[in-house]
Amino acid sequence: MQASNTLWRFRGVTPTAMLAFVYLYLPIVVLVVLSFNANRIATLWTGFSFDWYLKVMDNDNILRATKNSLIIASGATVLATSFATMAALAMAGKRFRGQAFINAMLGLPLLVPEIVTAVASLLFFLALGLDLGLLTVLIAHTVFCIPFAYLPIRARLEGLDPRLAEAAADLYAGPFATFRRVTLPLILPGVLSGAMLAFIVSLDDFVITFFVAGAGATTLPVYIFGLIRMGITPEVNAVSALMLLVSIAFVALSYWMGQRKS
Amino acid sequence: MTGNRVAIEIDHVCKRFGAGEQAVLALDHIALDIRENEFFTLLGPSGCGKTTLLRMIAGFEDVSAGDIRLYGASLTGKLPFQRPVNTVFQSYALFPHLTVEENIAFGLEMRGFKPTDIKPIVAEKLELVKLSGFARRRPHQLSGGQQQRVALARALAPSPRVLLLDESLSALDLKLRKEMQVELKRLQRETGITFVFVTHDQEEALTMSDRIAVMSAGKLQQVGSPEDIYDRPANRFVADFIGETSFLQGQVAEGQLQFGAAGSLSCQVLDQSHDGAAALAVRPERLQLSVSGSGLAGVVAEVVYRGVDTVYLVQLADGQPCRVRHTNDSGASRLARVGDAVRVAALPGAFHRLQEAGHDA
Repeated sequence: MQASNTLWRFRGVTPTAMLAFVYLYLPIVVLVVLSFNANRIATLWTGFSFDWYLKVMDNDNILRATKNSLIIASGATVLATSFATMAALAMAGKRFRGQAFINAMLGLPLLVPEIVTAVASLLFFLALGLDLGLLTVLIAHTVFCIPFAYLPIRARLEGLDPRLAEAAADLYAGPFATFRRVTLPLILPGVLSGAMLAFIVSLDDFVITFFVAGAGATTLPVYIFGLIRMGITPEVNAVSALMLLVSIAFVALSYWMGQRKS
Repeated sequence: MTGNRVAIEIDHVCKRFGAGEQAVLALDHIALDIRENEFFTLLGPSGCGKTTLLRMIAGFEDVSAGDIRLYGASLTGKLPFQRPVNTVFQSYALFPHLTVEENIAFGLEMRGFKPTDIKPIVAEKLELVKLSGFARRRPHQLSGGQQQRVALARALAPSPRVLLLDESLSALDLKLRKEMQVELKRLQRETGITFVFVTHDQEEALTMSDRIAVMSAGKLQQVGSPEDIYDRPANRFVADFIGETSFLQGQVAEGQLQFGAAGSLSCQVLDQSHDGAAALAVRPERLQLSVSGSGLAGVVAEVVYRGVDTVYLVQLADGQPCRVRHTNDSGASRLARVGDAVRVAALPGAFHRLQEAGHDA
């Protein structure tokens, strides 16, 4: 156990921290609690009920939006993770000119305001003459998922002993065999971790999707936004709570994968 | 035991790191032949280029100039996986996600051996390194010494023409290292494979090698048998790096070695071709200390007791220091104390005359 540093002990840290956590999580707790509310008026608690969850399962529009979300998230995850893996391998290889610049470019999309990316993507697709639909959403999602997938893979590769690849080459494995038999199995936790993050980021995205999704490509967040405009119903709470559950599951899984030893 | 065919021919190899003005010559025209079936050691202090040379043979580093040939065929342009040599890495570099037997089978699989052919070879190699019961373990479940053995078995399994060992014993503790030295020598004899071993440990090099190449600052200093290197060091660097050595400045005249106020010795010098000033190297175990005998006059400056022997640091009467070793086999361990006046005599052939143009250590 680490010895506590007496210099860093301040009064009032514990209550402040608790306040911060309440601030962060109380709204979410309220949302989950109200999703079990029996009353039609979302903010008025009258009793416990599973009705709204059953209603969600019965709503064709919600199911269609969910299906779209899952198709796009899965597709974007596979594409973004593949690109991110290739990028990470290139960056971990022999040093080359402009490597730092390219590394920065790979992470930059995380910092660009989403609304900028959204408008840019929309203009780009219109300029190309592409019809807005599932395909445009998929392309846009793949792009902003790449940095999320890239970071854990890169971290994993950085912790990898470069002698292992040398040992494989020394034992007659060509570049592809080395990747398949040695590098990939060893960075797999990072790849899966990156994939989980990409999946959840895609699933949750609203701004970019809202801009580049045409009719028929409505995803769950976009649909929820549409519902709210007609007033907050317990149905919205239930859908949100379900998304929260999926998100937590994936983030936890991603974290667990990233931590796991080979 | 040592064949005469040349296995590896290192033909004036240079290695330059960096470019232009800042270029560093890590290897400077290295030329040497490594013979078939011999245990050949590249010995030198860290940074002397020995590991770079080994990695060039394996194919992990490019050759800046010159050529390396394996049984007459140039290795230039061949990638590591195209070279019939295998490496035992300093850190072992065992594949952590594979079991011991999968590690050993790796090279055979990559060479396209059938699973039915691989099994007996893996079993045989496990037996060879005495790890038969460990086939299903993973590397992290093994001790350092066991991992070392797996690394050896893995590199030996595809029957390479040459086995390269990069400081392979340095991660082990002293006792285990001594065991593995004997073990490596046995493996080399039993497999008949040419071993090229890199180490900075001169004792290790003397113990195991058929021949040793001593390197320093990217240059080859001497190539020879352990006896050559130890008894007839080519220059001051080799004499200083291998074993303990006292360096003395003397005069050669009429078969006598004169040391000014300390007196003279009539012992023969290995190279007596020229009279005059001579730079001399002498091993502490070839000198003898006595209180009342003949020899050079001096005073004991320090006594270092080391169990099996005692080393006396003697200040000769002409001001030069030299070390004398005395084996503690007679029970009487102390010949003299600090401050005692003593005489230093030399065994025949004790003094080795160094080349005047020799390198400074």
